[in-house]
Amino acid sequence: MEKRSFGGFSLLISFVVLYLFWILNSGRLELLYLSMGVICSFAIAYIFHEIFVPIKEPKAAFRTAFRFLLYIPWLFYQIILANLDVAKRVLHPAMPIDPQIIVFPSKLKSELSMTTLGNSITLTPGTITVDIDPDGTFYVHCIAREPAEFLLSEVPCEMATRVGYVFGELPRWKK
Amino acid sequence: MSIFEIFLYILLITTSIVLYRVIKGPSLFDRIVGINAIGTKTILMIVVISYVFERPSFLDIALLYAILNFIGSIVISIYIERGGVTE
Amino acid sequence: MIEAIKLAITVAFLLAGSFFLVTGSLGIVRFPDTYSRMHAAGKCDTLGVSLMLIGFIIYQGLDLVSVKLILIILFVFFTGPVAVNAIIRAAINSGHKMWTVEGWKEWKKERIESSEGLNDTSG
Repeated sequence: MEKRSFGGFSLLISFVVLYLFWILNSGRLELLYLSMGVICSFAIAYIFHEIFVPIKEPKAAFRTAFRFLLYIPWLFYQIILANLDVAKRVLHPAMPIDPQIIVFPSKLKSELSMTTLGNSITLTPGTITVDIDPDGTFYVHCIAREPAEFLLSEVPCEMATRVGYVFGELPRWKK
Repeated sequence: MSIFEIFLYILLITTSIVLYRVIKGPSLFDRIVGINAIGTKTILMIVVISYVFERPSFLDIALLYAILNFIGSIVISIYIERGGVTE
Repeated sequence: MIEAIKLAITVAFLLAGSFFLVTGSLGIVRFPDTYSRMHAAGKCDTLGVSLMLIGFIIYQGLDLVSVKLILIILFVFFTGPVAVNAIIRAAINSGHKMWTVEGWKEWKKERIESSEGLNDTSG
């Protein structure tokens, strides 16, 4: 019973997303195009819906989507900081870099949250994700000493706590 | 002449800077990074061209090129890592 | 008047985006090893593309064409880091060497010693 309701939910969500994508890309509202879109997006959604929407419960999915929208502005601010940091290092005549690889545990559990944290680490100042172990250990390449110390200062670090809060795995970040 | 043509020239110069790394690059991975960066700039070039010639249908090609660029990078790196694309 | 303001904002966004793209390209050429080059490629490309396309969205207004631009932004935003991560993992797993400050100092010292040795034998 539980499993069937989950399957129907993810099938519905992926069908709606794919059909919206079809309409936005074709831009025509005639019957032929609309019916072709229904057939194509239903076929693709039926085959791939478990890969598209790998979320366990519908309620948690809506909460996660809402919290993710609140997470994006902070991420965008960090991306701008990261670009100014790279620009400073590139245009500096002496190029102040000191590359090193660090290892830290993140205490995240699901694959989706670890992927989000990996992408966020790649986009924030001075760090790139190299590899992730299945138990949540991150291997990160840092371009200098300061970002490495920032990530290693607490366990779990600020960004991991924020991502864990988005996916409902860790309590809210407090400062 | 549209004002967007200036940005076409800027993107062309940027691409030639990266092309130096693709040709000179000591290792294979430098070349892959360069190819990936050139692909990203090509997406922007197609968008700018669609505004210079006022043809919105070029944006579909830009979207397709974004997908192809991503899949190309992933497939090449998996090929190098495993020595083949199959599991 | 409104058209002129819109064009000015668009050109400002495009200039900011192309500044980051040029910086990223210079970084790809200037940094000493593959891993540092990926820092320049991964970050500057994502923000540069986003800023330039946001400029075009402001120029276009909100219609079906700008929705396609938003789709391109979303796609680049989510796939750029993944592509960089795939490349860097392939490099690490195939044993590509990393540039470090200690290694650079050692290489320099060896270089100086060997050149001194050469001078001794020749002199």
